[in-house]
Amino acid sequence: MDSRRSISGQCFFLGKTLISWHTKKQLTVSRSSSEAEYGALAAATCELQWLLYLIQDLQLTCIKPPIIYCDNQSAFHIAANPVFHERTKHLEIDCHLVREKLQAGVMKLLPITSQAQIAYFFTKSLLPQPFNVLLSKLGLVDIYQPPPCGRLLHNEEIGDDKSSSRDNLLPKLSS
Amino acid sequence: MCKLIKYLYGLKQASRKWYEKLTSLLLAQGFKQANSDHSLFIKSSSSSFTILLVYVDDIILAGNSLDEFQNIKTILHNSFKIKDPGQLKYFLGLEVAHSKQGISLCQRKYCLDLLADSGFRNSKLVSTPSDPSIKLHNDSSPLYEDISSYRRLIGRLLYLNTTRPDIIFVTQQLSQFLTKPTQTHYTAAMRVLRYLKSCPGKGLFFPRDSTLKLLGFSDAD
Repeated sequence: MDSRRSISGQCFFLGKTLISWHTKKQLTVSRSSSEAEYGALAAATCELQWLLYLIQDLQLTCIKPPIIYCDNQSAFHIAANPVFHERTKHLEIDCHLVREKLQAGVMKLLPITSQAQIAYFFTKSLLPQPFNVLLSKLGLVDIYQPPPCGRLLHNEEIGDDKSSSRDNLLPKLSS
Repeated sequence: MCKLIKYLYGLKQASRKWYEKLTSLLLAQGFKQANSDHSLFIKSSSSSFTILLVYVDDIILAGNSLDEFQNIKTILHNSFKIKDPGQLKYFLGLEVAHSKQGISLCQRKYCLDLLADSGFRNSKLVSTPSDPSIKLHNDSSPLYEDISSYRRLIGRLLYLNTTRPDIIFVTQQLSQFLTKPTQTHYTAAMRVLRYLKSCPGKGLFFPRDSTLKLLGFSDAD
């Protein structure tokens, strides 16, 4: 806070399991929130590329291209094309890794609403209610303390699992 | 200048030599060193797939062929005299539990030890690790006297982050003040412990029927 540098946060899920998460104070001061978001996106892209290499080494193949969700529209636009030259020309060159990987088809970048943005968990100090909502989405399990009956199905909002988890729920309710 | 004849435990070169020796042995057995992680060795053939993960001299084996396991264990035993504690249960403070649904990882014992060492047996619990109304910065409150104990505590919290994504943000915040911790920072660290006390057994769970779909979330603040 004293240094005026932003904090980037990122997390990765394989299926429904959290496999990688990160919180780091950025190395440079950002002049705008989009710049900070774009820097965070670059860090996430590096981690994603490493995860892909690891998955490849384990001789597995992802069924779909990986997706990174980001809730900042202008970070999207910076990634998509070299516009806003006036406001982005001072960005660290390595941040444009995002654009390169997007164009190479390594990953997809999708928008997400602020409510569903799980990465908030890694960049903010939260009140109990949002904290618990996001915590349930991380899918942590306490095997020593079985969850009470009727707990929320976590990850309901992640990606396109919405329909499938609803379908799973219905037969259980009727039986 | 002298030439080292034998690499003894504790020497500066010992770790490098151990790494060389183990790596060459594994490579000779048909393992391939993964580029993404140099401590990961992979051997695949048409019938079996074996993964070997090395942490200094602790090794985890995973794969689909028990014959291959036995084979590599014999080879390692002949070279280094290994102990085989059987199915993976405890590794570097991580507790591993297997079930039909999947595998769970947690650091319950590590967390409880941390709480016990900090004298946290009868304190009040809290539901979140940090208070959103308090922004930590280099404030003017009195310095916390026992700097080394603060540093030790943060170090242990950092290790706990291996299975606890829920405290990573506050740990990151607290670790900004290792040089000059004040009373405020110490109070915030104590709050993390009170949070941990409410759920020491929380951990990661890896279901067996997971889909291979990679999703990432990125944010800055």
